[in-house]
Amino acid sequence: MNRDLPGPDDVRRLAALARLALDDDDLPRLTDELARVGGAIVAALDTPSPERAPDVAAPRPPEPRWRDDRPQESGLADRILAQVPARRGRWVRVPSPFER
Amino acid sequence: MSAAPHRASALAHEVVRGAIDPVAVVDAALERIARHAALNAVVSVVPGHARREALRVRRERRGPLAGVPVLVKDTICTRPGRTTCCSRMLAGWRAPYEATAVTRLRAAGAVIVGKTTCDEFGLGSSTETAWQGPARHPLDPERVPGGSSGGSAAAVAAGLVPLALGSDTGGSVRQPAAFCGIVGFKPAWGSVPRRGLVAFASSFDQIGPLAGDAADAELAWRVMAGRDPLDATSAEPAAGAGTMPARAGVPEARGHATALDEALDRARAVLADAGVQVGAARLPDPDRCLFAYLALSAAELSSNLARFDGVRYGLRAAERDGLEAMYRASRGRGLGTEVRRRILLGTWVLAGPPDRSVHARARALRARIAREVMRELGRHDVLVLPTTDGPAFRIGERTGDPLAMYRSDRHTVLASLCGLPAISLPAPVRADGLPVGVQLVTAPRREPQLFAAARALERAGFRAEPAP
Repeated sequence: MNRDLPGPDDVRRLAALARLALDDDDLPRLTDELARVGGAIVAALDTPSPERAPDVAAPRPPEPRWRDDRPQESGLADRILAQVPARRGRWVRVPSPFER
Repeated sequence: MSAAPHRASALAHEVVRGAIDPVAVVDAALERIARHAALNAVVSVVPGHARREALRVRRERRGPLAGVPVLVKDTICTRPGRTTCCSRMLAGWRAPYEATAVTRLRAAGAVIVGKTTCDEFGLGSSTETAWQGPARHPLDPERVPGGSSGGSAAAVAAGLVPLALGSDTGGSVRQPAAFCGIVGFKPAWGSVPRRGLVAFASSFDQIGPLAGDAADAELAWRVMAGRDPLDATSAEPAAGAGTMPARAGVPEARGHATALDEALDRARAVLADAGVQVGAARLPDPDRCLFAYLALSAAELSSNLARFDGVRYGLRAAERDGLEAMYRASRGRGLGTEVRRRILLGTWVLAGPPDRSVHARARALRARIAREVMRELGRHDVLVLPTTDGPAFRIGERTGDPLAMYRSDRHTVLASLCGLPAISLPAPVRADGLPVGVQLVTAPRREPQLFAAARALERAGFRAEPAP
């Protein structure tokens, strides 16, 4: 529907989406007005710009990367433990909070 | 006691030094508002509150706006009094809090005396869609004062108050200022907090002053501007006095009303005489800017106005056929024709796959326009444009043709799309005997330069005539 200009059925659907009561008497006028304004918008958007720059404001969403849905080791704990100042096995060693 | 001056800064000065009684100033403003009721510029007044505030100012005698009576557009929340957005949907609604901009004005000594007529929810270019009926042009009551802040512009131009607040989404401060022959300033997006401004299109909306000269507009802006912890999009503005810009750009393409071409030529000559290097600016096509703006603002509007459903806010229809029926009936009856038209347009713009919808393409166009304009603002410190294509049109002339009405904003939306500060000044020429305006546009944080250029143009005749 985004490329095609709205017709009467589209306007009824848009009104339902927008929670607006719509009189049948108003439908032809509203359809005509939306088609004219929508047509002008689409024409402006389709006019090539003298300098076509990449559409950074509306990038295409990245393709999703899929994997099997099963538990597996993340390796995160090992990466964290590799950075700690002192450790014993898989525990982080810290100074005692109490005076000896 | 001397007579009150027409300029806000001069009036405040006299109040602070005790030469003028702020209570008398407020009473005189209320009397002028009553006497000019036929303008329909003001939808409500708060006389008791205003007099109490004036008494406070009389005791304290301080602040850069001490004792200045101010009218506020009806889309901006004030307390006490009503905030109706000139819509049947919000008839009688009282805001639970006050807009930050209004609080800051009051802290500077300003006295809020009432609310001004505007297009319903700020959607329009003529102030004809107000539920309370159209505001009228102070020089010709058969013509519109512009919009959507038409009541604020008419009030300042008619001398009801020296200062009024409007809000500018696609030109709603600058266009009525140009039509009424006064100064209107749209600050950079984010420089004046939007808390308390009923949202129309959040990525465009900005509160701005309408005043008799650039100095008053700058003063009001400086009072209102600055970061507000309750508006995460607000920011600190540029400080300090401005120097004249070194380079100004004027678009080569013309074809406006003859008076506007003459006004641009005069502005170019004045700036050149002041030592500014004036060159040709290559700017995006105004119609492409207009339709990108129209698509995006309608989309944001359709989302922002969803809250006016008879439950969260607004008029509730007595429908008993279920919740959805009640929502539809409440919105159908509470919202006017133009608001419903734009909600439908915004819903259409947002329909379709997220990456290929009209909305996505309009966003991409907005980004391209912003890049092109910022490139020009790298070559020029300030851009000089017409504010409109011509003078104020007749009431009813464009209401049957939405596209003709929307085209009233084709020169103002450029600054709105890019979030840029822009000021409209009255031109020293007239079209059909009515005022027209030129606007200066600059990059954010270059406002001091913008006001320096505006003052230079004012000295050369780009200034408001005294109120009739």
